[in-house]
Order: sequence, then structure tokens, then C-alpha cells
Amino acid sequence: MEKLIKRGAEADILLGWWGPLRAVYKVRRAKPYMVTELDLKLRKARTIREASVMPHARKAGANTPYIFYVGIRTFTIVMQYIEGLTMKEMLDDKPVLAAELGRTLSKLHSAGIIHGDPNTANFILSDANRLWYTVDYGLSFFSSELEDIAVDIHIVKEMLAAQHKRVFQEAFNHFLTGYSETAGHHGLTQILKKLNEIERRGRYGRQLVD
Amino acid sequence: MEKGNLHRWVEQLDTGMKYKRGLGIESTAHTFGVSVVDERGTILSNVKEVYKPPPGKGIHPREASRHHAEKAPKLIGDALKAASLTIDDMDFIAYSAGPGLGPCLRVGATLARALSVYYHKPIIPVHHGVGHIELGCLLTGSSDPVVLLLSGGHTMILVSGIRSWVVFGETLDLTLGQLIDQFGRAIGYSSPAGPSIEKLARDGKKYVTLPYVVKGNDLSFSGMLTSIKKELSRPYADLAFSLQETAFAMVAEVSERALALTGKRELLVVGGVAANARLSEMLNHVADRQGAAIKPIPIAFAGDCGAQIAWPGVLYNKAGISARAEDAFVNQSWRIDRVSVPWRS
Repeated sequence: MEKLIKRGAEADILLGWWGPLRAVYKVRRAKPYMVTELDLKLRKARTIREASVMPHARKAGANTPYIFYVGIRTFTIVMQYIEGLTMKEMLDDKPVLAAELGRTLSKLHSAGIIHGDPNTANFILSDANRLWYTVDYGLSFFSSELEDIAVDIHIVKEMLAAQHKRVFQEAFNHFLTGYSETAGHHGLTQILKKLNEIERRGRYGRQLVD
Repeated sequence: MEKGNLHRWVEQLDTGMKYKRGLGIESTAHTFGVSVVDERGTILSNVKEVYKPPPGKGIHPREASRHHAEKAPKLIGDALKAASLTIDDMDFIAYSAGPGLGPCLRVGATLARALSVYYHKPIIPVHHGVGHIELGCLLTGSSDPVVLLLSGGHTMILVSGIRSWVVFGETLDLTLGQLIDQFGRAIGYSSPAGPSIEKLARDGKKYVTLPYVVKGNDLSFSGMLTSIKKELSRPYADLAFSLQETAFAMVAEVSERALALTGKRELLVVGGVAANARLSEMLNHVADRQGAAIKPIPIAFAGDCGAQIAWPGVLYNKAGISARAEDAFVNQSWRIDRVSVPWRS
């Protein structure tokens, strides 16, 4: 009855029904290549985490699908189906959309939520109400540490460079503008300083000769 | 060997010797390698010597560079001889300019500058990681792959950008190679400890829980190293097994993310750790699940070698790029996404 619409890296996304409502079934299936203990631990932790953070994210001002059902033993979350295009499909033609990503992420961060996977593929513009929805909270967690916030921004930067290479600079600038609308310039400056520190800490982050 | 040379000689006569070729010198860490590659991508020779530290020790940069300096003259001669060519036949001299251990890099760079100036050959600095990737593409016939670069100095997932390689995800601290080597050292193996750990892991039965840290497309291994060092009272085989299972699963997961998000259909795995059979097995599953083809690189070329420097040398040479000898530096911490790669769009 449910139809597979997407096979992500960690879950299958199926489209089906929940009573009279269209619903997405997000099923974290066993990964045959992983040792069973690790596989079970990860699937359980991520299912619980996703289901528990999403309502908080909504309270923080980021639209998220409503959850209908959580199956901890089946590693399944059934949630509202948001029909629409993802930002990943639109950003290359319209880099200014990245500002919306910045606004949303900044709201989450102010509420002490780290998304953990702020990818343009996880932002959906709903056809029904023209609002942006954020999904995929499997790697999210609660934290107000500057370090965690800056890593979230680092992921955005890296992701834009790799997936939207032709509009990277422009998109990242829009992202920062959007982010500072909520975080304020002072907040953003602090985060960027930390971001720089993180990038230097990584492999070959310091440039001896440039 | 003799027969091979004859074939090549006949082939060269046949084609009027019109193919350009050059010498590549690799000396970033424990390996000193020299290779001659021509512009069709034929590897005419590829010789190397590997510095082996004492048990339980890592690579000492000074000792490794001394090893390289001692072996270098003979290896350069061997590489030319194996290709049945002389230094005069070379169209350029390429060397590994980074990233790596300074003293080791300088051995290769100094030699390359000397050869370049004395014999009037263009000199080409090559990034070690770009070398791994481009040689991998050459040997596997990949055109636009998701690249998993796993060497001592790199743990990265890359995709081609605009005249460059772009980092899709990477480690935020230790590399996979360092994690394995440092664990290996803690239990008495010398670096590189990959093959010993792999063998040991086959006898592991019990999975010991270790931190699994994936942040978006990025990885972190430092917590795992700290954690495993506190468990050294357990059987080493179980630890080796758990370390491989956890660390490789992290790498497999981000590789799967990269394939799913980019929609690319090839997964190329290069660098020394690519030789690990358990990792290959996991990545095969990943590629299968995402409908991609995994491109295995011949084991002989998975680790460091001269060919990984000579082949990008060919590509730069074709693009008309070379350095002035006085600018042919080394850069111990050269980021791969800062390297200009004009043949990629």
C-alpha cells in the first residue's frame, strides 16, 4: 500500500495513508553491512531523537510535519506528508532562497536545537500553504554550545559548496544575511569566529603558504 | 621484463615517439616512489621503497627523510631504466608538493628542482590527494565519481567542482588512517598499521561500543581513539574488530549520503585504507543500495606511489601549467580544495 518515494542514506521514505490523511512513512531499515549491535543502537537512537526534537523545532518557529505515530521497535515514524519541491531543486536558479535556510536555522539555534543535517534537500516548500518545512531531524540534538552551532553552519557551508557549486558564494551570503536577521550581527560574528577556528582545527586547516 | 621493454620500444618506434611523458616523484610520508607515465596514461614504470618504523613507533620525519634521501638516486635510475628511457626523454618533472611531512617532502622537491634546473625540464608541483584521485580515475575509467579519499593524511569525500575538487564531507579531527595507526601503536604495531589491524580484526568476536560521530556529512574520530585507549584490557582482536566496524560504518554512511544526495553513479575509493577488504565489503553494499558502481583500484596503486604524481603531471603539462623552479615549494598543509585542477569542470 505504501509506495517507496525515496531511498536516503539512512531511511526509506514511503508514501501512504494514515486514516484519511496522506502520510509519509520513514522507515530506518537494517543495514546489512553494519554489525547488528551498532545498527540497532543507531536506528533506535535516531528514531527517538527525530520524533522528540521535531515538536520542539515547531515550537521554536520552524515548520515541521506533524507526527502521527512512532514505532520504536519497527524504527518507523509516520508523519504528515508535505508535498512540494525541496530547496535543493530550486536553489541553483534562485540562490536568494538560502536566506530562508538561514532564518530557520537561526530560529532553531536560538531555541537550543542543533539540526545536525542542514541540507537543502531537507527543506521543502509546501505546495499547500507556501511555507517552508524542515525535515530529517535524525542527527539533531539539544545544545546551546557555540561549538555545536558553528559546526551546523560549517555543514551548511560545505554542503552549499559541494551541492550548489555554481551559486555557492551568493547562496552562502544570502544564508548569512538570513541567519543574522534573527541572530543579530553580534551573534553571527561570534559564530563565524568559531567557524574559522573549527575549519583551522581540521586537517590541513592552517595555511602555511597561501 | 626484457620482453615488456622490447614491446614498448617497438611501440615507440611505431608511433614515432610522439607521446609526451614525465617523471613523478612521491615523497610525502613513508613511501619514496618514482614513476614514468606517458600522456595516454600508460604507466611505463613505477618503483618504490617504503620506510618502516620500529615496532610500536610512528613515522619519524627525520628518519623517513634520511631513508628517502638514501634510496632516491637508485630509484630514479630504476624508474627510467624500467621505462627504457633516459632523463632527456622526459617532458617534465613532477613532485609531491604536499600535504605531508616537511622533511620527507623536501627530499622529493629538492631532487625535482635539481633535475629540472640541470636538465632544463618544466617542474610541476602536484597535490598528493589530487594524485590519488586522478590516478584512481585513470585506472578505473571513472569520469565523474563520488571520491572517497582515505590515506594517512586524508579522510574526505569529494566531488568535482569548477576547476577543482570540492569537499563533500571530511573528518573534523583525526583521519581514519591516523586512528588506525595510533591504535596500532598503542598495542605495539608500527605505522602503517592497517594490514596488521585488519588481520587482527578477523579474530574479533565481541563488539565493544565505541562513539559513532557523524555530523551532517562530516566525521569525528578523536572520541573513538580516546575511548578505545581506555579499553586496552580487553582482547586486542575485539578492539580491532570494533574499531573497524564502527569507523568503517561511519565512512560507509557518509558515502551513502553523498551518493544519495548527488545522484552520481560511481564511487571511487582511493588511498592506502582502500586496500582494506572489510571496508570494501561495506562500500559494495552501499553502492548496491544506491544503484552505483564501485570502482576498485588495483591494490598496487591504492597506496602511495610515483604514478599518482606523474599522471597529474601529464594533465598539468597538457594544460600548459608548470612552476618556476624558485617557486617550487612544498606545503605541509596544502588543502585539496585550494588546488587548481583545470581539467575538471
